[in-house]
Amino acid sequence: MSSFSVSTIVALATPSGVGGIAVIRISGPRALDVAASVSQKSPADFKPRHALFTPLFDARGVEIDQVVVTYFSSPNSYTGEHVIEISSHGGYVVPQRILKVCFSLGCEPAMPGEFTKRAFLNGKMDLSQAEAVADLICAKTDIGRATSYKIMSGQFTNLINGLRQQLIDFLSVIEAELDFEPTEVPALSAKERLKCLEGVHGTVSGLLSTYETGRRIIHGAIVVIIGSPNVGKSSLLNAILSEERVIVSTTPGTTRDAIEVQYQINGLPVQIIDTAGIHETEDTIEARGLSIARSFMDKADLLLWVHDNTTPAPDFSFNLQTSPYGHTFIPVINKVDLISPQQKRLYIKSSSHMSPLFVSALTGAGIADLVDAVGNLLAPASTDSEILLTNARHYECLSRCSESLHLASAGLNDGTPLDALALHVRTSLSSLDSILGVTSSDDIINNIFSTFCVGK
Amino acid sequence: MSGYDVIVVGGGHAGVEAALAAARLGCSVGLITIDSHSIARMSCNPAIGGLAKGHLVREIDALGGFMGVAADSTGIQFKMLNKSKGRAVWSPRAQIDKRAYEAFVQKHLTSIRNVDILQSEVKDILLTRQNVSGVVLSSGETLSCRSLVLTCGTFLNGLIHVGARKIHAGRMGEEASDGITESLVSLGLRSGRLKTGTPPRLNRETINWSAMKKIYGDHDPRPFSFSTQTFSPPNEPCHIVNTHPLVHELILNNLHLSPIYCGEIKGVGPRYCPSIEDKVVRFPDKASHHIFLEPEWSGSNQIYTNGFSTSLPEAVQLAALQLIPGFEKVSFFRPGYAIEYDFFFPSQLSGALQSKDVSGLFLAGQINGTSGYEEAAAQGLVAGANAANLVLDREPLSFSRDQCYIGVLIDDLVTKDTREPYRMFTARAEFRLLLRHTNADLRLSEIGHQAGLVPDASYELFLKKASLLSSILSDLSQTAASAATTNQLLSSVLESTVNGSTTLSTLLKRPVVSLNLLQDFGLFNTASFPLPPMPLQDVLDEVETSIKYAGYIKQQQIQVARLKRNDQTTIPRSFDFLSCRSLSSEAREKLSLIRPETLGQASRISGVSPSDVAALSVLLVS
Ligand SMILES: Nc1nc2c(ncn2[C@@H]2O[C@H](COP(=O)(O)OP(=O)(O)OP(=O)(O)O)[C@@H](O)[C@H]2O)c(=O)[nH]1
Ligand SMILES: [Mg+2]
Repeated sequence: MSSFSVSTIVALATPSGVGGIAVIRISGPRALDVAASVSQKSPADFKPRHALFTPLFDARGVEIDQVVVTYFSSPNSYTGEHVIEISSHGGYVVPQRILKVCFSLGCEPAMPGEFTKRAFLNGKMDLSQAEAVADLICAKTDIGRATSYKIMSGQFTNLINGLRQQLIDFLSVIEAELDFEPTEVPALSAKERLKCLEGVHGTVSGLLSTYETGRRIIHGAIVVIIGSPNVGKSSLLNAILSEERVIVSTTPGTTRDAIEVQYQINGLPVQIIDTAGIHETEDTIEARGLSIARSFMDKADLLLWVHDNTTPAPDFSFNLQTSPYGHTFIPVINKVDLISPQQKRLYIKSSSHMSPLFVSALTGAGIADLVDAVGNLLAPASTDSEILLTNARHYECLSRCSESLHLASAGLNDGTPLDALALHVRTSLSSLDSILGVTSSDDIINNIFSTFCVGK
Repeated sequence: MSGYDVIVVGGGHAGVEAALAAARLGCSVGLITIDSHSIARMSCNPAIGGLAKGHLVREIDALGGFMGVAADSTGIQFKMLNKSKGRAVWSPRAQIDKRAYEAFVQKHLTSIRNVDILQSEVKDILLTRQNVSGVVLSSGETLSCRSLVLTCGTFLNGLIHVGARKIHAGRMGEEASDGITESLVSLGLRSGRLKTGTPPRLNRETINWSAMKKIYGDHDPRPFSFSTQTFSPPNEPCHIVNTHPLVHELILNNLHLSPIYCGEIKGVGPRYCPSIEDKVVRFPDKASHHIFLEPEWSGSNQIYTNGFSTSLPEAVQLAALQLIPGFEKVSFFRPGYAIEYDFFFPSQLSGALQSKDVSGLFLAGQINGTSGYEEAAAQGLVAGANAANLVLDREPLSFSRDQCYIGVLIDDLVTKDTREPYRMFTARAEFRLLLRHTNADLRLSEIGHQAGLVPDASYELFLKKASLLSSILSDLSQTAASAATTNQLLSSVLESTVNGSTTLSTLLKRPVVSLNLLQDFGLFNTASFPLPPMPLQDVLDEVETSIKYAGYIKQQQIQVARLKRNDQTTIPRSFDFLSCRSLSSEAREKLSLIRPETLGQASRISGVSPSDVAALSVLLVS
């Protein structure tokens, strides 16, 4: 099995081409040799956790740059392996030349997330922390980073561990009842049982409900602008961005293909998509038009449904709200600069129970409110203290946990036998275990002995 | 040099099953014991079975073992435990007539043509190139063998403590054995020390019984053995008394005289079988502890005090007991005591219970760190069968955790290296809902028969049961009851009624609907079924369980399938864990010490995290 050898990997750790300083990270058994070789020094010149100022040379011995090299010896490094960090001047050229010489010395380009994977495999972080790092790398904005950081720094792990402990305590009572004679174990009342299960279930459901927001914070949200031709969709997009990004004209049908724009609302990465107008026939929105917009709407977290007030007041209770797509949408009435307050009231009255937002893409009136409304719908406030679920696998595990907890709670009342009840609780516990990559089976038995006077 | 195919050392419950299994497979067997009259002795409580242990006895029986048969013939009170807690944890238990039990087993053993019982003591083990080749007896004589099964119980360097008094013995009144530990250690095996205890035995005549509550067994007793066809055992009562604060105070005042508390005992005792000293110290809030008085044999004047295990000095034990109502004048035949003995860390064994280093050396029972007759017998059966399989050059028999409690037991032993005497609990079986005492034969008879352990007659009975089970199940799913009858039946048990006609299996899904109830309403009739009463009862239980538990069973089967792959990935014997840099250092150390045979075993070693397992699975492929 000695044939298995760990490769030495290298990659640029800072965004390519951005910033004055670039960091290149090397990890693996040969990291130190590579550093020594590119700096034409001996490995002994590098002391763990010390920075060394040195020129670097390419394969032909030509100096590339003056850099700072820091050595982290195994296992006291990010990955647990020998790690070299080279801080060079930024830009594209210098870092690329350094990478090239590392490749020529036998380093392999790191796959995305590979440093983290190694850190995980070497026991430097638990599974959920490793996943948070991956999210951190993907995170596009500051709140995204803050959220990932909360998970990485162990707050999430602590929360899950707290829930695990509650289930372990609960199971200990059940298992003790199953494995010891009745006189020995203080049985829990049905009410106490339910309270415990519902407590855990509540926290799990709470976490699950943060996923939509959490996912959007890391991976971004998609907002699609739809509406009839010429209502001012493109103008609205320009107004939101406060720049003339999209062509606007008086001719209906100006926008033919969808236009995607990256934007941030309250620190949330948002992709806004401006679509071609949906044709409106005499009476209603054409099915064909809907189907064109449909592919965009399917991806959307939120729709902005734009109308202009020069056409009769639309009936917002109709169609989209009851459409199979079931998307959240904000009705937007554009060109409010063209109407009197009186007409506006009339408009509100006729648009049934939906309360549309009135804006003017031309004057900018109402745009700030619209942006706030979008932000609130996509990422409800109070994201500072609570932990947001950002990872699809965690969501999956917690969903399974919630399902089993639901069965367990239901089972307390419907005559489910105790051994089957234990199965549901065990299954929910192992779903939590798999988030952190741990096991609990021994803990239950140990807990029984430390808590109850069991045995004869 | 004369000899045997298989030599078994020790005549306890492990030794007996080992000798019988090896003999069943056709090997010549020599059973060496210090005292042939104490073969199959029940040295602690006069009971067999109980929670999770009852499952083991049923499984032993389904694999052709003898414990269940002997218990059925010599039991004096039978009870199904956990009846209200779910079908998977129902566990049979019986009070046993100890004298009758050992006599019954001894008689059977002597009737087996290819088993010789040799009254002697083994002093050394002989090896030829890391293969066991024989043993040296205390007489200096040597006996050759191809396989050796050691089942030495608490006899290896046994040391009894009663207060400050120390006695070298394997059990009270029986000599300890020395030489085997030293011999195994010289072969490179690692040993440790454990402790267990037993309560005093009281004189029936000195107890005032009128003050005590009687407990009887079930009125519809059920046997352990699948081959027991009709069953009407005795139903003799046990009694129950309680300790009180004055008793506890007396114990606390004399704690310094207990060898456990003054540090005299170094071995680790079982937490699930605490001494009365332990209970009083660790649970000071409990005002009272139960003591069960169990007769040691039918009409016995020797009474076992279940719940009062102790190693306090004799005088203190007596004084404490005499404070209990009914015990004012009590005297004992012998005091409770603690015993320390050597065991060998079981992770040195394969799943077949063979030493990973010395071929032909098998260990079973307390020498592996377990406690309990049932745990011992289960291992004895597997070790004995595999000792024979080695001789016969057959594949070893081993079991997975989803197959049986025996599989859970052995897997726990070889992966977890117990630090206290290991006892079976249902909680140890993660696939508990699949491992019911009622389906032990469905799970194991086929395997046992193929291995040559289950005789044809038992196997034929099993086949009959299995086919009856599936035909009843298919009938129930096809037979519908009219809405009228159904609703009459449902209202009789206060259940919500239905609209149309319903199949019987749908009805049976309701917790309160049983086959008996169907029978009461003329929807089901057991009269025509071609089986004797006891096997039939098993079938009917399984019918109900497979319908009522169908959902849970399916859920567990999915869980089994998910883990199966790890258990099927074998790790080469030469695999060098220490050089795997991607494993955590704790995992590297543990894995190289234990040398698991499969990825599944590796995953269950403490200190080996799921990420180590992930890394290992990658390494095993490359
Ligand atoms: N008065 C007024 N005119 C506006 C406003 N918003 C847009 N317009 C005008 O409406 C016309 C159509 O604007 P666009 O933004 O191109 O409309 P669109 O919905 O993107 O049109 P298509 O892409 O053709 O579907 C242009 O002449 C804009 O100047 C507004 O708020 N007030
Ligand atoms: Mg447009």
